[in-house]
Amino acid sequence: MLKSPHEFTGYDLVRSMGEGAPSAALLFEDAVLFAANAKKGKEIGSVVKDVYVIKDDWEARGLPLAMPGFKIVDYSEAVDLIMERFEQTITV
Amino acid sequence: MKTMTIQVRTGTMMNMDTNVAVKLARAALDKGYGVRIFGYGEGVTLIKNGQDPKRFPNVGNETIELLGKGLEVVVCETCCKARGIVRGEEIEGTKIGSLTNDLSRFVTESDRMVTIAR
Repeated sequence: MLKSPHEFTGYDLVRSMGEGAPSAALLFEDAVLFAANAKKGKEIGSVVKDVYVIKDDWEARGLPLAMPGFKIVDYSEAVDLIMERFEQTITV
Repeated sequence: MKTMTIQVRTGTMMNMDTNVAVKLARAALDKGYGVRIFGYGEGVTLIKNGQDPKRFPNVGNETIELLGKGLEVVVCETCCKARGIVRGEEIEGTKIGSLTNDLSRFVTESDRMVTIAR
């Protein structure tokens, strides 16, 4: 995910894409704001099993973490998620 | 060797999409994966040689560096022509190609496809 939570509207899409399979959101750029907003964080957390936040973009914004269950990952871990943990990547 | 194809459709100076693409490519190459980037739309600006952003990361230079690590970069010729980018203006080692030949090959041959666009 790239879009800010204040711009993103695709919750139903994400929920339906993840149905019946382990699903996760990997947050880049302004999408990392989901981790700083408890209300929005809970919304995305309700449609996927896990939420990962890319470290570079998170630290660049210097915001307090509102969702302790979200995992901050670096690009190496992001590659592991894409190439090994999950079978498909869809950008929303 | 598993391969990742990254698709970019955003201009290098529009937002951080191409920076994310290049960082992802670097991390995947460092882990021993094959990596290809295909650009179209404004994403073709990735291969323009001579990029010189004053206060932003230079994804052109990063691309040049990653070519040395085995990155393959192709962009759409039609989109280049539409923007007045002609052959010879691309970063050496990148290719002005096509969706029909190159993107289709990348999609067919890759294990994972990541689109970085909004």
